Amino acid sequence: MMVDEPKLRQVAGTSSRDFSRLIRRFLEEKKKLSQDTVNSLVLSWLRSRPAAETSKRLPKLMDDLARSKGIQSAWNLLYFLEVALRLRRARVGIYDHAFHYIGGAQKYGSTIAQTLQDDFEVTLLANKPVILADLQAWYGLDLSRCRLKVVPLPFFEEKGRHPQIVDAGEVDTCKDENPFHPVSRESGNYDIFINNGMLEMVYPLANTSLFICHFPERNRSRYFYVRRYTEIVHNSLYTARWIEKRWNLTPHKHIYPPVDMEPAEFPLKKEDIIISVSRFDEGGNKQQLDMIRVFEDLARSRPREMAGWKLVLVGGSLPYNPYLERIQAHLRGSPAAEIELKVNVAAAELKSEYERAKIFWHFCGLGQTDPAKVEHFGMTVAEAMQNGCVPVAFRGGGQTEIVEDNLSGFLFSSEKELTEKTLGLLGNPVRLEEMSGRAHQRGRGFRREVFSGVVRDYFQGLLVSRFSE
Amino acid sequence: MKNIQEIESQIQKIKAALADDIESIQDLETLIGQKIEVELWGLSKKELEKEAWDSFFLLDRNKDCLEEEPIVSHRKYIGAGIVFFKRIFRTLMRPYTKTILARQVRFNRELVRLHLANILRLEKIEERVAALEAEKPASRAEQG
Repeated sequence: MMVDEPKLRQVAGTSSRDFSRLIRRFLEEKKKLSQDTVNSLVLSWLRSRPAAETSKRLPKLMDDLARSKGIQSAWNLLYFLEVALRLRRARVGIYDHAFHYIGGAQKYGSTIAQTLQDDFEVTLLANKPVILADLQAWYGLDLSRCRLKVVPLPFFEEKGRHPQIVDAGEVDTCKDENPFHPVSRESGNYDIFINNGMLEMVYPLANTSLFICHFPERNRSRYFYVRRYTEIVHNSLYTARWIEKRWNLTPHKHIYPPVDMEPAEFPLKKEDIIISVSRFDEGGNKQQLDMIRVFEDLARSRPREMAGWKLVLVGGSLPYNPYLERIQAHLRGSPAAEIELKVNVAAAELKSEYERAKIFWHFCGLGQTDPAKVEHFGMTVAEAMQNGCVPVAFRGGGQTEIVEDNLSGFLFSSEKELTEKTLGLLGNPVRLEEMSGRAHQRGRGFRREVFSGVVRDYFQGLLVSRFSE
Repeated sequence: MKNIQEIESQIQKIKAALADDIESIQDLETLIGQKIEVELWGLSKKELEKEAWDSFFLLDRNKDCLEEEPIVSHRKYIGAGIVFFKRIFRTLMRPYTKTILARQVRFNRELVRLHLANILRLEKIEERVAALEAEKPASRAEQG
């Protein structure tokens, strides 16, 4: 049964004795009294009654709350009051089980931390040792006002497991206890808890909790707690569609990832280069071999148009990558085509490659049936566009949201369409230049300042709506 | 607000008192004072099987509602009096409640049996389906 909230609110303003009695009665009768309602009512009561009166009854009220709704509820009320009464800044905990790795999702979380560190007390929560200096160097951020806390997970520290990976897929939900409970437990020490690692097994205890979803990778299991979060933030409309489809949940807030590959000045002096920037995935999901084949076919069949053009494949790789070895073997066998391979290059070199290239190819998703293997956003597409490379990208995933087809780049659904659109660009330098300018403009819409602005507004809004009466 | 310092010091006092308690509790369900319910929709076959058995054992343990719960009171001074009167009240009401609850116990027992029968039936059907699926390619080959 629901409580009569207007009545409680009215009593809160007139009598401390009646208010605390009524709250106790509702709690004893197990009426539906949400944490948000309790927080708001108690704040309203504190604001309207004399301090001497309220401070006398507050301990008893906390006691009643702890007994009927658990001690965390009383703790959350105290945290809420401290923030709402402006006794301290709100505490934000940003959790990512892979903070010790370089990755797009971790860059997203770290950039949120940088954006919020002046207005909130920000703590980065990791499961494996990592240092702030590394995060700062990897993503070019200033995290000097953030704290870092490592919450070890005994399940993943056991011998026999990979020492560096926290993989939720290893958990047998029928046999194993939920190994993420230490993180859930830690989440109760913050006013706003952000789960940036897409780990649906973390049960949030904070007053306000955000689940940042970069893609719903796993199906729902026994330890599925996404519904418990106050809001779900998604990185692209593609991800949002899959959250609805796979989890039957509607996400709340859309924030595109930060992309910061802008050149110091624009326009740039460009060369006849088609570039591809993608990780050399061991499974070949980024399809660099297919790109090579298409480029070689073009060079053979259209030698006049392709004269002087070069394909540059840039990307990161782990050591002993069989897919990369296949690419290298292929290139050794056909040295005729102008193809360059650049593996694990430094950030400055990557930037310079982007600046020189005229066209950007991206095949990821072509011929895929698994939605997880399609780009959820397509960070490198936006990076290339910031540098004025005209993107020719697969029509799928987040790429359809970045590239405005025929305006700031091209989308393709088949190799035939790709070759037609690429040749159309090669044969028309004026159009190529125009599109380069539009790609640059479009790419600027994803830069870090834009991301930080959206994040700042969103969190200020949360502060107002969640920490007031 | 007239005296924010007074409220602040009160909040800090309560926090200090709660801090040790909250630190000592590691179990999530104790912290939030409720059981964390599992959502059945979207679970895998194995997970559903586990949920069905867990739920069955819980029903089985609680089917006898005639079993009396201990009478306790959390109130400091009047607690003993409350417990005393509750005991008298319960003794007086026992003949009436027993009649009603005895029916409920019979009903619960049947329900638990039915639940068990259904789980076992489902398991047998699943075994049969698996066997048929395994037979299918062989029979096709024979026909071919």
